[in-house]
Order: sequence, then C-alpha cells, then structure tokens
Amino acid sequence: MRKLIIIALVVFAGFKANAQQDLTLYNARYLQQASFTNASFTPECNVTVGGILFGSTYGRIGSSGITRRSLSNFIQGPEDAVKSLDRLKDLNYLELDAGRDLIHFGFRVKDKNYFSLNASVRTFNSLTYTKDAASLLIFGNGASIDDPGNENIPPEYLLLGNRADLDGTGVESTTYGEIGLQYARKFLEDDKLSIGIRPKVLFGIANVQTKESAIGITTDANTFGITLDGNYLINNSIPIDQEDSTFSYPGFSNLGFGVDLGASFNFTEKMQVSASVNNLGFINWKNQSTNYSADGGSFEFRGALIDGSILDAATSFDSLGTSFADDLLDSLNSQFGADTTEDNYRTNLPARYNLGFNYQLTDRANLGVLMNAYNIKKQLRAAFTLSYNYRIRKAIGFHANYSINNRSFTNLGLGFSFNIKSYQLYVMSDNMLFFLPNSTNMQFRGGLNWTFGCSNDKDKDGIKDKDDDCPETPGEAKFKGCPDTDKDGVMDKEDKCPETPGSEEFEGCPDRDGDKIADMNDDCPDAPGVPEFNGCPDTDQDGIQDSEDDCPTVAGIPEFNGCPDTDKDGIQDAVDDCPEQPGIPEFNGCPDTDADGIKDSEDACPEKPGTAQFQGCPDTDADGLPDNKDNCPEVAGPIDNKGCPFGDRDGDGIIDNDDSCPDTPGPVENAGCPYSDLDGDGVYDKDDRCPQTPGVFENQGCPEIKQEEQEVLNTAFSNLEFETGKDVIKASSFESLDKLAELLVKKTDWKLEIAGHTDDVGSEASNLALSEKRSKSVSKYLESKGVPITQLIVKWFGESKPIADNTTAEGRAQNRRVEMNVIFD
Amino acid sequence: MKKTLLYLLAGELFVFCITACNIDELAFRPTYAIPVVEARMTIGEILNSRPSEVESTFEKAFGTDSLFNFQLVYTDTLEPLTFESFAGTGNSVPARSYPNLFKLRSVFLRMTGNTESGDFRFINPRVDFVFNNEMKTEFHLRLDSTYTKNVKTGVEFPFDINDTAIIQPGSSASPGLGTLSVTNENTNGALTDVFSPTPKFMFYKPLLSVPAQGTAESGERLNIYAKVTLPFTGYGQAVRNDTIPYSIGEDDVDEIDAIDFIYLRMAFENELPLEVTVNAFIVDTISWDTLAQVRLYNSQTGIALNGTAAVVPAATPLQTITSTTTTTPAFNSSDMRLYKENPTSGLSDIETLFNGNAILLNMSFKTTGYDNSETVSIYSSQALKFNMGIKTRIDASITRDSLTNLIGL
Repeated sequence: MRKLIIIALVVFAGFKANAQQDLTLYNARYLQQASFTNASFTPECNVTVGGILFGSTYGRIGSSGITRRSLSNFIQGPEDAVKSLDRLKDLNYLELDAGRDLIHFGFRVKDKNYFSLNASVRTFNSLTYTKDAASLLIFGNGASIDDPGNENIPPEYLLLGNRADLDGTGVESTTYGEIGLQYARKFLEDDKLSIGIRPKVLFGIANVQTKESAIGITTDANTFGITLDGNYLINNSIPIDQEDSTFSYPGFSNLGFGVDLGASFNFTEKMQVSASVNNLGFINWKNQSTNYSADGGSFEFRGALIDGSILDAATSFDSLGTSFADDLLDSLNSQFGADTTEDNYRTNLPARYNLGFNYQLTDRANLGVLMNAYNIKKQLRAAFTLSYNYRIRKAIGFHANYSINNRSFTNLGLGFSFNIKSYQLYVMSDNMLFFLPNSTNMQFRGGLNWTFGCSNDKDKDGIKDKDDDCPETPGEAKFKGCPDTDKDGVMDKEDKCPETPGSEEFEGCPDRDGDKIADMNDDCPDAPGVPEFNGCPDTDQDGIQDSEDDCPTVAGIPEFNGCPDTDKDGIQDAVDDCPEQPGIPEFNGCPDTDADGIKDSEDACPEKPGTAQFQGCPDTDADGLPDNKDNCPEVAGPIDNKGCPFGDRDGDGIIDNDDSCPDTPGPVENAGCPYSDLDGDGVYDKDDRCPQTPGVFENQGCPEIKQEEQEVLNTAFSNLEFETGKDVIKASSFESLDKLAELLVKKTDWKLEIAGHTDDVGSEASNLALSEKRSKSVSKYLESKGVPITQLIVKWFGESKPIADNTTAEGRAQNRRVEMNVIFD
Repeated sequence: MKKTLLYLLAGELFVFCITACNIDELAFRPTYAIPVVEARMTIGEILNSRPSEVESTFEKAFGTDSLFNFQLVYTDTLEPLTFESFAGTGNSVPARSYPNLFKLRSVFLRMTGNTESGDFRFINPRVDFVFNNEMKTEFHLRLDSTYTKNVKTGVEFPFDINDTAIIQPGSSASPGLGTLSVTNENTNGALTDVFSPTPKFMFYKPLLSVPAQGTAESGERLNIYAKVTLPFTGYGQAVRNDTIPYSIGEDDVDEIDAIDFIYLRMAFENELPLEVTVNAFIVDTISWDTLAQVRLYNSQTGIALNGTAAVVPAATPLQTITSTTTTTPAFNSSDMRLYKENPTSGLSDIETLFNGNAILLNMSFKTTGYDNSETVSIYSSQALKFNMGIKTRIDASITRDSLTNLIGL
C-alpha cells in the first residue's frame, strides 16, 4: 500500500507532462542551448560556458484539451463542465517537462568543429486519460439525465447505465540525469552543410509507467451493481526507502543511453533547411524496480450477498456493513489484486522530430517555419510554428513566433537575448499567452552563458561588423560591406537578380525581348508579349495566349482553347457539320427542331416530333397511318377507310359493315337485326308460344287464363266420367261440361284440345277406338251446347300415353282420362 | 540532486497556482451510485430470518416429486389433565366416564397473535391434538364444544371433532401417545374461518372416559398439544408495522449541506404470489412524533407512488406449473428519495432524516388475486430477489479559504 501511495505522489506531484519542445529556441541558433533542439547547431562564439551560476532552465506544461478556462469550468458547475468535456477527445493527456543544465561547456576547434559537454537533470511526465475518465471524475458514476439539474447535460457524460471507458488511462513519469557530448562539423563549400551528434549517458532517478491499461467501469442503472473489467501493467522504480521513506539516489543502477542527431543545409545564402531527431534512447531500470499487473477479466459487484444464513447473523446494520466491506474487498482482491514482480524493465525516451526551414530576409532578420512532432502511446502530437527572428548585431536578439500546437491555436512565442561583454542572458517562451482562458500550453526557458572568442569581422571582408551592414557576408565598401555578385552596380540585397547582370530600371534584372517586361517576370523572355500574360504573346487577340491557343491566328473562345464556334451551339466549327446552324452534338452540330431524334434534313415533319417508322412524322391515333396520310388523325381507323372508323347508324353497337340491319337496332346474336313479334304483344316470336295471339309475358306470350277459368277446366276434367267400356258420358258430368261450354262460347279466341286416353286393359286397337269415341263424345257434347266446332280439336291416343302405373287399379283409373287443354294460334 | 528536484516541484506548484488559485470556489458535485445488498431468499428464509415461534416446513406438493408446498406449523400447549383431577382411591383411576370432570377450557392461539388487520383464508388447514400420557391408565378422549373466538369481534367459529382418541397408558419416562386430527373432512365448521390468523382463543371441553381401571401417581399428567398446520394455499392480506432505528452522530449533522440528495434504490424480482405495499415515515421515537413521510418513487418513471402502489409486485401463478416454474415473476424498482430541498415541499428531507432516529415501515401484504378470492399456493422454490443500492450527489464545494487551510498554507 505504501508503495502505491508513493507512486501516486510521484505521479500527481509531478502534475502530468512530457517531452521537451523549445519551438522558440530552435531559431536562436547563436545560443549554445539551441544544440538541444538540433545537434548540428553551433553558437557564434568560439567558447561558451553555461550552467554554473544560472544554468539553462526549462519548463513546460501542455495538455490536449484542458485549458485554463476549461479547468475552471470543470469546477464551477455541471453546465460549465460540459463545455470543457466537449473539448476533449476520446483520449487526452496532460504533460509536464522540466530540466536544468548543471553545466554546459562548448568550444570550437579550427572553425569547422564544435564540441560541447552538458550535465543536466530532466523530467518528463504525462497523464493520459479518456473523456469518460473526466466525466467520471466530474459527474461520478451515478449521474443520470433524470437527476435534478441534469436536464441539459448530454447523456454521453452521464455514466449510470453506461460503461465508463478508461482504456488507455495511465501515467508516464521519468526523471533522470544526463551527460551529453555534442560534436558538430561543417562540410562542403562555404560550410553549407552542418552535421551534429550528441551521444549521452543517462542516469535514471525515478520512473513510473503504465505499460498497459484497459479498464472499464459499468454501473447498472437499475440495481447500481458495478462491473469492472480490464487489465493493467504498471512498472515503477522509485528511489525512496520503504522503511523510512527517505530518498536514496540510485547512482548508476538505472543506466541508459541516448543520442541526438541533427543536420542543416544552406541551399543559398538566404535559404536554409534543417532537421533533427532528439532523444533516441532508453533507460534500463534496475533500482527497486517493481511491476504490478493484473488481468481481471470482468468483476461484478452487486452488494453484500444476503441469503438466509446471513440474515440469521445480520442482526444489525453494523454487521451488514462489515459483510459488505468484506465481500467487496475480498472480491476485488481476488479479481484485481496485483501480481507483483521485481523484474528489471526498460523505458524509451520520448523521441522528438524537427524539420525547419529559414529564409534570410536581411542580414539581421529571417523568417522560419518549423514542424515539430513526437509520439507517445501511439499518439502523434505535433506543432507547426512560423517565426520571425531579428538580431541587432550581437547585442540583442529578438524572436517572435506563432504556433499551432496540438489543436491549440493561442500560442505566441517570444524570446530575448542580451550580450553584454562576455555575458549572454536569454529568456524565452513558446507561449506568452498562457494566461488566456483558452491556452493549453505554457513553456519557458532561461539561462546565462559566458562567451569568449567572438569575432569583430565575421565575414572577413575587411569591414568591421559594427560598420558592416552585412556582417555575415563578404561585401564591398561602397555598399557598406554588402555584396554585388553580378557586378551590375546593384548590390545583392537590392538586386532581384543578384546572379544575373541587369539594369537599375528593372532592379538589377535583364529584358531580352524588349517588351518592357523584365526577364525575371517574363514567362516568354525571348518573344515580345503583353503584361496580361507575363510577357507572352496573343496573336489573334482573343484573350488566350498563343501557347494555350489551339487556333492562335483565329479569334476563338476559352471553352475551345481559342478556336471559334460560329453558330454558338457549343460545338466548335472544326467538328460542326452545320457550322452556321445551331445544332446538337448527336448530329455533329446539325439541328433537330422537333427533338424527335431525327435530324431535320431527314425528317418529313421537321416541326412535329415523330418516329423513324414514319420518317419523323407522328401517328397521333396510333392506327398505323401517319397523321400526314390519315383523314382522321386523332381517331383510330382502318387503313382501307383512310384512317377513319366505320359508322353504326342504328347505334346498336355493331358497325354498319357487320350489321345486317344497319338502320334498325338489333342484337349481335341476330346479326344486328331485331327479332319478330307478329302478335305485337312484346314477346318475341322466338319466345312466344302464341306468336299470333297477343298474350302476356308471364304466360310465354299466350293470353292469360284466369284462375276461375282454370278452375272450370279442371272441374270439367275431374268430373268427366263415362259408362264403363263405353263412350257415354255420365249425367254427373254434365254440369261441369256445361260450364266449360259456356266459358268457351265467351272465349272465342280459345281452342280446346280434347285428347282421349285409356288404360292397358283390353287390346290396343280397342283401347284406341274407345279413346277416339270418348274424345269425340265430349266434343259433340260441347258442340251441342253452342261451342263452335272451330274451337274444338279432337285427338285420341289409346293406351300409348299412360300417366300412372297400369298394374294397379288406382293407376289404371288415372290413365283412363280425357284431357282438355286450351290452346291458341 | 534533492535540491534540484525540490526546485522542479516548486515550479510545478507555481504553474498549478497560476491555473487554479485565482478561482474563489471549486464547485464539485459528483453523483455516486453503489450497490449495497443483493439478496435472494425463499419464503422460509424470510420467515426464519428472525426468531419466531413459527415453524416453517415443506411438504411435497401433490403430484410432483420436486415441488414442495410451504406450510406454517404452530404448536400450542394446552392445559394438561392431571392425576389430581380424577377422584380416584389411592392411586387408582376408576373405569368409567368423566363427562363433567373438565369444564370448558381455552387457549390463546399464538399463531394469530402477531398480525393486525389481517384477513387470511387457508384452504386446507389441519389441527393435530397430540396427547402425551404419563399415567398408567388408558384414556378415551373426545373434545366437545370446540370453537375459536375472535378476540376483537367476539365472533365464534365452531367446529366438530367426531373422533375419539385412544390414549395408551405410559409413564413420565415413557409417555403413552394418542392423537386426534381435525381436517376439513371431519368438521362442520369451515376451518379456513376457524383458523384464520386474526388474534383468537380456541375453546374446547375434554370428555374423558377410562375403559379399564388404571393407576397414576401424584403429579403425573396427560399433556395436550395442539399443532396447527397451515399449508400456504389460500388467499389473504395483512398489515404489519416495523420500526428500524438508526442513529446519526452529532458530528455528521455538519455534513447535511454536503448532500444534494440520497436515493435508496430497491429493486425486486418476486416469484412469490404476494405483493407488498410500503409506507415509510421518519419518526422520533423519543417524542414519538412523525416528522415526515418518506415518499417512494418509481425508479423508471420518477413518478411518486401514492402509498397504495405495490413496492414489491406479486408474481402471477401459472395455470400449468412445472417442476421449476410455478409463477411468472414480477419486477419493480422503487426509490426512497431524500432531497436537501424537496422539489414538492421545499423542505429538507435530509435534515428531517438527521432529526429523526427511526424509520417506521407500514407494510401491507396481499396475495395475488386477493380481491377476487383467488387461491394461490406458495412453494419452497419460490424466492424473492432483492437488490438495494444507494445513489447520492455530493456537493463538495471548496472555498479558497478552506483550500488554503487544507493544504496548510
């Protein structure tokens, strides 16, 4: 436990940080300390001593998302905290670097070689944390949207019911001593190339690193059960005695090695590019090295487990609380308790990369661009710096820069140096705006050097630096020590073409084609041209210079690289079959007025959209005859009727051509003719049983027989009896026959069919004769009663048409009958 | 080297102060939720969790091999019949009938004594009278004029016992035994009413006869025990009050302002066909004043429960039970919420909690379908799962002065 507390103290007292930056110092190359940013940089004086009284001291705080404002927001209430959380990425860091040179001694050998020796103490510290970790710290694990006052907090910051992702959370803290030896040498003509190296021996003092961490905390929204998952590996080497908590310097136990590499190259006298890689190295930690690790998997705690047996014992809340604590600790210990080893381990230094470019504006001033990067925990952290650097002789140096540093845009660096006799004092910062609310970085460096062997005529042109406007470059006295390389009488710093002889009219540059445009600004220096095209010609004056004009002698338009399009149909004349008529690309610039896909020259109806089948003419009624040949273009009709339809004069839906009776409506079944109705009773003859006698539909066209009339018929039939075996009508039948006769006399349009039938007793011939006699007997009787003979029709059938079974007496009685039916014409 | 490290530390403190020390107050109000208790208890474990005169047993349920009905067993000791009661000569006990030897007796049925406002209907209660005879005389005993009587209402519930117990002779070292069982099959009274557990006395008159002369010594007795067995099949309701005392130290009172709210979360998964409704009150047991009612809220909706809504919902019995499943469990989650400033009343629930010293729980139990007189059975496998957790928001604001004091500057 004590060790864990010590680790925590080391980490948090260090207040999180990492890796030296020095964006401003990079451009103060006349300082010996600039070699810490690029090992090829060497100071201007031959001997420099620093670190004895006020050694170079360095400090930096940086963060990826937390600013002064957000830090105060975090602790000023939930709604302000949300603004700060919004700024955070999924993984964030806080860093602190610090360092001090105990001694730094350097000297130059034979102009081209420079050596320096430094003994320093440095510390790099960083805390990496997730956005959820910040949410957990600010809002706790139990906050939810339903809680009072949380209505406006985004749900992703309220962790109840969600997994708080702490993957990647951890610390890196390294403090070590360093002894480094720099060697830099200049190469090539005019010392254009400088290369430097600084091997260094490292003496580790203290270290804590979270090698691995993948941890999550989930609080169940319903039961508040807490689930921990994940694993971790922490290495540490702390030089504090565990017995009495006293510091004991580890000496050479934690030995390491590193190297800084640098190079710079002067392309011209004004342009320089430089690059460096610093802090390539490692430290082997052997002093009190301890490693804590756990692979917890998943652990769920849902409270003290209570069952019947525990309830028996738990007679008070105190005992319940003890049970709760014991359960929790036992479970946590078994699941996440650290496995401890004392194996040695290695940490790498946080390597840093610089790429710089400088342009010399004047002998005193230059502009610089610097890209700086380093990588920690697979995260690339980068800075981009623009700088302006100015020196007044050697007395005063001034440096100003603006940096975009890890998504932070409020970084204004300033630096000053003062040389008073042998004393060289400097202070500088990468961000003087650290006091602004949105600032995320703060850095400073300062120190005091003693310098010796600084030259008074550095460029050795015979003009002392104090009188030399260009003290770094050999020059002529008439130009106060500044050079005129092309000897055209215009000194280099006022000569825009310092390498080529020219005239003063063109600031030292030539004009070979005489178009009054200096060659340096003339893209076509050997052909007279116009200013619009930087001195290049435009022969057809169409606003397109000849070099880009496909038709340089004919005025054209830009769309066709200077070639013409007379009919302005978007197709240049060269490929337009109808250059005078606006057309379309499909017909190579020829027109299709009605847009029917048939060009006008092949379209019989160029003004009306049509089809290819009819040479571009339409067939509106789609009857297969184009409109121009169709007498009825809007009504479909057969070709043999010139596109017009046949008529239907009687309107019965059958065209006259198919209608046998074109002027009389009739059904299809009767070929368009009506059915006949001879008696005019409205029942067609084909359906009329009495086609010549008007009747009613219900009686199939025959006259209606009333019920009482039918009764008379039925009664006459049922009462009709004959003497046995004879045709003599019994007297009992007369009354009903009389009524029948009376009815028939009234119904002159009726005819009575009298049909005689017998049973099968006796011979067929005798039966036929008997049936004849009996039917005629009835006819005679009725005739005797006044019924006209024309109304009586007599028929006889013998035994041929039985209506019942002749094997029974009852059946035979039914078969012996004289039927009387009314019929009509 | 140590000096150098100290310089570094001092520099870092300086930077920290630049960023943070110009703030007058640090408002830090995190909300923490932690689980406190996880429980899974069967009905037997719940009832046996506190000392009780009730014996809970299980009986294999009809038609199954793996289900057990839960039943309650109460044993009451009736007034014994002593040797001195018999007017024998010397040590003899004459053979004859003793119809008027004992008058109507009564015993308070303890099984009914701990409930109030209850209304239970056990479908198949059973009463076993157990006789323990120390005398060397065989007895034939019948209980006459048997009924129970509601203490509060005075209503009597008669029941008949038609059988006669034959009690073997014995001694104090080896008593003779005899039993008499009463079930719904041999009584004209509805035992479900007779033994409904409202506070009751049971009345009975022993009718004794001696078939053959025996002997007895002074002090020897015929002990009688009434063992009431209540298989937990039926329907009912009851109200029970419990007081949970607590104490908060005087030093803790200073911390009232540091708490915005406290939620006591109670989540239930109930397999028992029994619902519980809870009303809670903060009380001062010294003055016995009720200081406030503690409102309960539905955890999901945040709606305040009206005091009649079930905190523990009842499970629904299945039409067709299996060896492992007898009910459809019911779920519910409720919060007891205490605010520094109650949104409804504007008062400080937490201050009230600090002023009180006990929570009075008024709990109402009701079986599923009680209002429709639906019968439910309770089995040994049915359990009540319970999770309790606490959620609280801490107002840990720190002023510049308190911070200065804290770090000793």
